[in-house]
Amino acid sequence: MRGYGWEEYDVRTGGRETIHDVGNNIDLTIDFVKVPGGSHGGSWGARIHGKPANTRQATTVVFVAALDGSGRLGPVTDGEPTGYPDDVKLAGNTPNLGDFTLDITRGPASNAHPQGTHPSHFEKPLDQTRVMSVPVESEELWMSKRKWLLASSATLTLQPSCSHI
Amino acid sequence: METLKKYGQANVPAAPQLYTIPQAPNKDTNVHVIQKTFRGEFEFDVLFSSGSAMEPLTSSDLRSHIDNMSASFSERFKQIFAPLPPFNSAKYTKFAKSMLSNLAGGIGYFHGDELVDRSYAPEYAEDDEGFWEVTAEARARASPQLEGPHELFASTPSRPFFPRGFLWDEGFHLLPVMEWDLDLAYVRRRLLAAHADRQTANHTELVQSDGR
Repeated sequence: MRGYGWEEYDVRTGGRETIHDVGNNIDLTIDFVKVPGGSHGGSWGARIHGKPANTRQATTVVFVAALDGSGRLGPVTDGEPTGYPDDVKLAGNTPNLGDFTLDITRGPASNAHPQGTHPSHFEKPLDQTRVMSVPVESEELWMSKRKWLLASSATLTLQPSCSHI
Repeated sequence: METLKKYGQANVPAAPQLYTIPQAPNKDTNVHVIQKTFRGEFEFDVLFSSGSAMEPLTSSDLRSHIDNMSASFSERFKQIFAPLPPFNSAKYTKFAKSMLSNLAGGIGYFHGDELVDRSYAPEYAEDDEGFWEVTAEARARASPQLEGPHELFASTPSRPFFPRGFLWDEGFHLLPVMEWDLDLAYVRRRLLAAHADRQTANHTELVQSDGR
């Protein structure tokens, strides 16, 4: 990590954060805005832009949406068995936020995805977005990264025996 | 592992394919892990739309909101801090904006129980050589208890190294924030006072237990 932080930030309107991730060979820029409106604190949006040092590098990005406390939050549709070809939409409701939706967009047409001829590619095409829902106890939410990494270890193969790939 | 078993070591899929989560959406759970894989430069949006707002937020709205935000931040910065020569050059402005932004962007709201060790072991004074060994022993003997819940609303300007609230430093954090946003500084000062009360209470107990 060569550093990260806010270049601009106002608590009322939003800002721009940059992350210089040397380990993953990528610079991330996150523009975050707050949009007033309605009676539950308004809306917000974030644009995540990644620029790897190598233009052909593959990068995987994971966004976690978690509900802490009472209410509900979940994907509006189940997508395809292989993933979501387009935007992913979650909908939720909590006592403080009322009804809300959360879109994780497909992004502009300039986005490219790793292609392949291996049979596994057709089971999980990488131009689709995948959603894995897991139940996590409220007290364990703060360490849910480990929990979902464990839950997904069936496919996230981190054994040294695969280090040749 | 399953993917590996299925295809065998002789026909291993490429790494981006292996490092994928299963497609398993379920609207009845509370955590949703969403994974995207790209090649080269990429961009996508996360849009939270409040149901009571007039219209849901779209990607094209987001573009104009980002542009407006950035322009108004720069304008407000120039007005409020009005840097004088030689500190009005681009490099100083960039540094000053970054400093203010990390003070404001690093504000965290903390709420929950605290694990507190009230053994007040004399070893914690770290008076002797090799104090870390006796301190570690004392810490192993102690049985910390959960206290709270407490709340804290404070700057954590160095999130990688000091991801927590401060008491003494927060006064200095508030100086530039006061110029920028007095209401924000006021709310923080009020919560800081609560934090200070708690620290004082703890300190008083410490003094009493030492004097016993």
